Amino acid sequence: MTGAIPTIAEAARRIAAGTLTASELTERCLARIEAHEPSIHAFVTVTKERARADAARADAEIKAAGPKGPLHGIPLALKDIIDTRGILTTCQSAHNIGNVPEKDAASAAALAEAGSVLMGKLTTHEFADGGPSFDLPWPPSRNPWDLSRFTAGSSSGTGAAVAAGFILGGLGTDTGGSIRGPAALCGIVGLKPTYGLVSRAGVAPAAYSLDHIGPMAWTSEDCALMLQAIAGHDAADPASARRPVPDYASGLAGGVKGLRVGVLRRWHEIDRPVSDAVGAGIEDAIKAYRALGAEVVDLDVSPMQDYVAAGFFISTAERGAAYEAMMLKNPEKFGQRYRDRLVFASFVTGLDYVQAMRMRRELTAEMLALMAGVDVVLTAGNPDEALPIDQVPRWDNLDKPNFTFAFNVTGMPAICVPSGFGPNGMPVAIQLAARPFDEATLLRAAHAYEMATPWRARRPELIEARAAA
Amino acid sequence: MPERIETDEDMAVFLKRAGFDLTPEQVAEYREPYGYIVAMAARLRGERSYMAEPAHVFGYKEGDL
Repeated sequence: MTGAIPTIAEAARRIAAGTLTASELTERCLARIEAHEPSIHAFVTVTKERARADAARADAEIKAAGPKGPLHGIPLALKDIIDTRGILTTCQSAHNIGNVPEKDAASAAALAEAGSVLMGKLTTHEFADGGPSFDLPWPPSRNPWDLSRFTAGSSSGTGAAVAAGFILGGLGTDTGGSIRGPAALCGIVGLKPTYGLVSRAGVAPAAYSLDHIGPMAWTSEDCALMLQAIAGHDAADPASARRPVPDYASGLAGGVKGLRVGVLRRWHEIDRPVSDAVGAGIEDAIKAYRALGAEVVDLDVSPMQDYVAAGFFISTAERGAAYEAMMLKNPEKFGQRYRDRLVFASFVTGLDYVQAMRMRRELTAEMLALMAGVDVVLTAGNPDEALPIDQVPRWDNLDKPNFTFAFNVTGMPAICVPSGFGPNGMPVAIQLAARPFDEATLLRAAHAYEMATPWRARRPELIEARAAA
Repeated sequence: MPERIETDEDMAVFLKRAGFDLTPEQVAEYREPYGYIVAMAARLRGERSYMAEPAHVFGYKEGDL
């Protein structure tokens, strides 16, 4: 148990043992939402009645036949660009203010099929890019560790809701770091799976060839349990991969003795020097892995700016294509920051796009070659702690590269794991990445690091203090 | 690489052609990010191997053939 809210794995064990019910757990989460959501804004929609009905059904099913899996009766929520049948799905945009889909997205359906409890739809940047925005129909999410600070985005509500204990896990989406950035700044774990492993069907596009759906939760183990439910081929997603889905949780306790860890040192020392706290987290992780029996080596890699440049032109062109008609018809319905991103698309030529795709092929080949000699690579999750939310630059990430985009460009799985706290008391994180479809090794490496460090023992003090009062 | 847009007037014409009818103030605001984008575009250019071709693979299904 962590504070008043267990991890998914802990809750599943207790539900299976009969010492906790889905309804009790759901009510505990709803009470936290009622107390703290007005100041955090993690949700666009709280589906309270649906949650209670799901929980009651789960309890009846479990009583009759036992849990059908570790997500049975577990309160989860979805980023609000993921379609949900009969439930408002806004993409945080005035364009979608009354949009109620007729069908669940594939990932939403998979979590429902696993018996989870749907708690609601979570705050995002508009159409998953460009925030924080204060000119949308709903406010941006606040960081539960300090309400004046940014969550990162675009899966901002998922990061905040998991950190605050409103839910035990949630789905985010990641086109340039939108799962891993909020995970890093909100002090939780966020996994971007390999491109094509999780169906995008029913999820609003951000950039077709870079979009990923993945789990965000308190631990790597919880991410493994969620990934298990949503991974697999789906003919409704034209980019879906036909790959076997291994048991992601079974190998977690295998440890990292003999594992090879490659450090992408130039990225955090030269290309975008990180804060002392982030740098200390990386060095401590290296020591932890060596102490656990892993071999750690430095790797030579191309500048992070090359990966980000390729990703920027591909994402900007694909986003522009996806939303061109809406932009030309009703530009005033977009918030300023998303409209900016669509204007940028006009600066991208066809030549830029093709050159970026060619560069992407070479960068992917480079990263595959690096990973041929190691099992995982290690870099930063974010360069520093969360900024005050009103100080996030309008042209954020244009003048400086971010640490997450490279693995959208290469399609490889990557995870952010908390690695300590900065001088302002805000979380910082490391990032690990692995070979395509090797989420099992990635999760094992992340889990071993978590178990060797104390960072999963602490929840946001603001929330815990109020919960105890 | 395409020629850089140097003036606000040219930028306004360029954006208008792309469908954006912006005020002079809005056009001026976009000059800063445009500079970052031009700098990033320079990174895309360079010698690439034959294997860098963004190969298109047709996804024919069995029933299509």
